[in-house]
This record gives sequence, C-alpha cells and structure tokens, in this order.
Amino acid sequence: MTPRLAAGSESRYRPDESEAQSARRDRRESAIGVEIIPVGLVKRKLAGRMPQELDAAGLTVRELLLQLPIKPELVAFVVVNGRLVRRDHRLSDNDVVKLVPAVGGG
Amino acid sequence: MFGYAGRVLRIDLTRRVTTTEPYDPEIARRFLGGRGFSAYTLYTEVPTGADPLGPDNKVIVSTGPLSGTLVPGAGKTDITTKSPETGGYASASVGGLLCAELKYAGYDAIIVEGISQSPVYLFIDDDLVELRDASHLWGKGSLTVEEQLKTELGEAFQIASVGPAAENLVSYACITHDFGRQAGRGGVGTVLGAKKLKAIAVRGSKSIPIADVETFRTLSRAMFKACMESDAAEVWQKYGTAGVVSWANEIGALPTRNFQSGFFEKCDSLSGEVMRDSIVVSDKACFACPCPCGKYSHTEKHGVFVEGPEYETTALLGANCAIADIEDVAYANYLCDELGLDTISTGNCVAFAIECFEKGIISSADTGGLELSFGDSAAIFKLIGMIAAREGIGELLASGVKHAAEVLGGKAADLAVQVKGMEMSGYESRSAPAMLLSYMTCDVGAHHNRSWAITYDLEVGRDKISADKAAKVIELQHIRPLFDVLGACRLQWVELGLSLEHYAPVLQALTGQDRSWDDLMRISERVWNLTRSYWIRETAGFGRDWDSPPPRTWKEPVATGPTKGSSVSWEDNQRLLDMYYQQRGWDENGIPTPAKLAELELTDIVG
Repeated sequence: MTPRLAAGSESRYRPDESEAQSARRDRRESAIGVEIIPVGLVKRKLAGRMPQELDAAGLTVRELLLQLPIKPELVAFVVVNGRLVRRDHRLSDNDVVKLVPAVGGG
Repeated sequence: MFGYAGRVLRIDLTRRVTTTEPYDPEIARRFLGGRGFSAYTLYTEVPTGADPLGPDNKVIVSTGPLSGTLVPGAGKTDITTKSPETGGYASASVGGLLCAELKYAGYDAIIVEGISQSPVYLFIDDDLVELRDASHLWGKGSLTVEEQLKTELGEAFQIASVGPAAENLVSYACITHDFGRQAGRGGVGTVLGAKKLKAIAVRGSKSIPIADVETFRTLSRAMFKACMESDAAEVWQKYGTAGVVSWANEIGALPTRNFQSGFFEKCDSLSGEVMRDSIVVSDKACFACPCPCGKYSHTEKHGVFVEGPEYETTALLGANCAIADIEDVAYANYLCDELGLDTISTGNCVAFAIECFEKGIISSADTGGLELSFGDSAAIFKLIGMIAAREGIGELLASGVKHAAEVLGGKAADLAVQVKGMEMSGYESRSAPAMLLSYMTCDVGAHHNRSWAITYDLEVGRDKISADKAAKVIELQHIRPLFDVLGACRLQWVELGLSLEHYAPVLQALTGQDRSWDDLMRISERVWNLTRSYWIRETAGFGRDWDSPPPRTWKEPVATGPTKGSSVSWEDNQRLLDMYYQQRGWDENGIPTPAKLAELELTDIVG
C-alpha cells in the first residue's frame, strides 16, 4: 500500500516507513517544516480543515493556534518534541508538535 | 458468577464478628457492582436518619466486575457511606491495588458496620479474617501506618488507612492507600475513624472466574494497545494531571484566593513542567494501568516524599491559597496525606479562613494569634495541622466551610464555596455554566468527577445557556460514574481517547452476560436516581435549594484574569437547572417522578 500524504506534508514523505507507520502518519495533519499531531477532540475539530500552506516554523505556539480553525483554549497541552511548552514557545523546523485537549475521549 | 469473587465480607465492629455472604446475582443484574452495589447497600441497609458517626452508619468498600482484571485501568475501588460532611450520599473512588487484592482474597465488597470499643485494624489473608488490635497505630499518620503495617505483615499486603484527622472526626478526612492514593471526598475516612477502624490490610491468592478467557484476553490486549498507542499517552505519562495547571490558568479556571479569581499571576512556578523538572522523582501507576499519571515527588526544602501534587491539590492548596512555590504545595500535600485530610476540602477551608481574616470576619483573637494571609506558606502549614487536631480555629474549620460560615454568620456565607456542604473542587466556573451545573447537581456535593463539562463550555460558547449543556451534563453524569460501577479508571477513556465501544464486549466476555452499552448507561442512570433518592430520604425538605450554586458564582464577578467580570446570574443558573430537571424526568423541585423511578426499576426500593 502506498502511503497517503496529509495535506501540505509532501516534503516530509518517508518512503522507508512501514505500513503501520504510514497509517499512523496518515492520521496527522502536517504544516510545512513542522509536524503537527492533533489529538482527540482537537483532531476531530481539525479533520479536513487544516490550512494547506501553513508554515509553522518561526511562529510561537500562540500564533500557530490562532492560525488553526479551532478555538485555541480547547488545546490544553502543547508538547513539542516530547516536552510540554508554554504558549510563547517559538517553533523551529522539524519540530513535532502535539496538540492535546484536556479531554481525549469525553 | 463470572467476573466476580462471588462473596461479600461483612464486619460487625460492635460484636467483633466477621461473616461472608454470597454476592446477590439480582443486585449484580440491576446495579452491576462498584458504586452501584454500594449505593444499593447504603439505601437498603443504613436506616433512615442514621447518625453518620454512629453505629448504624456503614462503610461499603466495593469493587466492580472489571476490578483486578486485565482491562487497562481496572484498579478502582468505590468507598461509600453516609457523609458526615454533608449528611447525604458520599462515594469516593480510590486507585492503587486495593481492589485487585480484595478480589483475589475472594471478596467483591466489604460492609463495615457498628463501632469498635477500641482501635482495630481489619486483617484479611484469603479466608483468614481477623480484627486486630491497632492501639499501636492510633494517633499515627496514614503514610506511617501503611509503612508500619507493610513492615509487620509483608509487602504483599495492600493497606488502606486513616490518619489523625479521621480519629479527631474532621468531617472531610480521607482514606489513604498505596502511599498517596486517596478516597478523598465526603468524609469516608471520618466514618472509619468514628468506628475506630484504623486500617484494612488485605492479601489474596485466588483468581477471578472469566466466562470466555480467550476473547477477554484478546479484547483486553486490544484496549491496552490502543492506550499505549494513543497520541495523548506521552503527555499524561510524563506530567499527569499537573500538566493541566497552566491551561486552567490561561482559560481563567484555576481557583485563586478562595475562588475570587480563576487566574493566578504566579502560576508559572506551579506548572506541570516546573514540577517535573524540580521535584518529580518517579512515575507511579495503579493496578493494570498503562499510563502512570501518578508522580512521586521529593521536596528537598522540606525533606519529604509525596505522591503529587496532582492538579486538584495544586489548584486548591496552591493557587487557591496563593502559594507560588511548588515545594511548599508538595509539603502541604504531604501534610494532608499524612494527617489524612482531603486536599480539596482542606485547600478550600484554609482559603476561606484567610479571606475571612483579611476581611475582618475573624481576627487573630480567633486564630490564637496566627496571622493569616494568602501566600503565607508557614501559616498555612500550621493551620492544616490545627484543622487535623481540631485545635483553636481548626475546630471551626474541621466541619467544612458551610458549617464555619453558619457559625460566623453575616457575610461569611458569601465566602463559602460549596454545594450541599461539600467544598468545590478545582474549576472556577463563572464563565463555564455547564461546569457550574455539574457542580450544582453532582450527587456528593461540589465535585468535578461526575461531570467535567468545562471543555464543552469552551467548545460551544462559554456564556451560552442552553438545553444542550444540560444534556451534556446528564450524559457525562451517566458515563463517568459508570466507571466507578465497573471498577475501572476513566482516564483511559477521558484522556487517552479509548473508545467506549470497548467496554460492553469486554464485560460480556468477562461475565458471560449479554449487556449492550445502552444497558450499562441505564444502570448508571438507575444508580444516579437511587443516590438522588437517598438525599431526598435523608434530608428534610430536600429539593432544588440544595442544588444552588455557591453565592460567589452569581453575586460577585470574577476579580482578575481572562474571565474578569464574568458571572452566571441567578436567573441563568436556575434556567439551566430547570432544563436539567426536565431532561432527567424530575419535577421542578428536582424530585424524580414516580414514572421515572418505575422506568428505572427502582419503585420497589425507593417506594
């Protein structure tokens, strides 16, 4: 199976990833240069609504959230490369950003 | 009975008699287990008007069918009693390993009744059940007792214990287990203290019968895998609920200075990141949990270890008391754990006293010379000790803010942040009407865990007063407490996004009984209406007045922060309450109608 790419993620195509990995990546919406992983409620709210040409590198987390079609306050945790960060944290190329709500399920 | 140990252990402390009886399959059919079993037992066995601290009251320690199994998070025990704090229904859930060990010893539940003449602890080693002298443990802290009993009996024993606050009948004393997990709210520990039951020690070696072992194993593994692969797992494992502190502050929900505000200007020093980097020494999980949300911490400043502080403790003992040093919050947490105090109610009582002091309602003459001010950690540590010992001003605060306000009179009632006599947990709700409704209608008092609707407020509009908000609160009040019926933790669903569709099939594989998700929700609604009926039976004139929000929420706008100026007017909170009652099938005074009770098969119990 050929991995399907999330919108705007062509530059991050990984031909060597396994089917499971690609399926996992397929669930994500990516901005150029910064991989964004919306979770739970945030993921449901962003499904199919991610901006096509969003370059998040150089933005603060607060600025990124304002560019997404979602109420920023729904995102409880912003985790960049495995670390919880504050809203004034500035994003860099190749950052992996998880947007986690306070409720993943309900 | 597949999924059950099949026996109930009954402890009569007055006569010092222990007996076992079969777990009634009819009760299992109607109430399943956990909080369902204990609500039924409370309603049917504890006589109307029983003194919460007297021999007629009972403490029911109840596991659910999932408890002690392979299902992720299957480590929850419900502890139910008539509350000495509210006079109504109290039910608190504790994690750890207690439920698993109890079930392996061959018991689904323990019913504790009567009063011992001298301090005892309950010793359970499979079929060997004894009441043992606890005079050497009396007066000691919860954590100390746990360590001592493990030394005396062996590490394999699981211990639940109470501290000096319970012995002194502080109305919000908790039960501690696994060095930092608590059945915290409503004074469940107080009732054990009144009964002079200092601790429960249990070890078991039996197994739980499973109807379809292969299917159960397959489904449980799939649930585990889904939890481990959740994109949210990483953050919850690393920071636990403390990770939410900064967010709560940013949205103006972090209770600050006795709920005068939802924004603490020094919150940065209490954040989950700061806590992780400065005091956390290890992660800690409950039985069968893939997500160790517990954080075991060490404060060098105070020289103690403590599990926590988790979100609620940081909110109530931190921001709500304006303590900005995470090590001081950890120490206040330790004091409460060792003394056996619920951190949520204690944080409220301390903050209430400070605000009363600052506004001249009490003075240093009342506090024995102790000067109280927000942010004064040393004075707050001292006050916590005074509450546990009922010493000086601690006597006034030992029965909770509602009682203290009634004694003080005047404007003190406006500073008491409580519903039904229980202090409010950690979400300032003046710009979150659904969350406020959750507090107003929660079946134990102002607690968040039955319905945590603040995200729904954010999602659909914080100022909106609408029928869908009432519907959401009801939906959550059926789903979330269902986990306490099943004997499992809700975090796997709430935070890791584990689909609810897993639960009915895995329960069916375990018990062999065909139950749909709708069946489970109906059981949860049945329990909700039974606990409502308990309040009605036990409280003269019970009705919608008991669902009133704290005065501060409608009389006084938020003082500072992003929600500054907001409040939910009396008219709006009553409008929401009307919608809630109507959707629940209750009358305008909040009483379940005969038709609703009949629909839920409760008529023969409630009448």
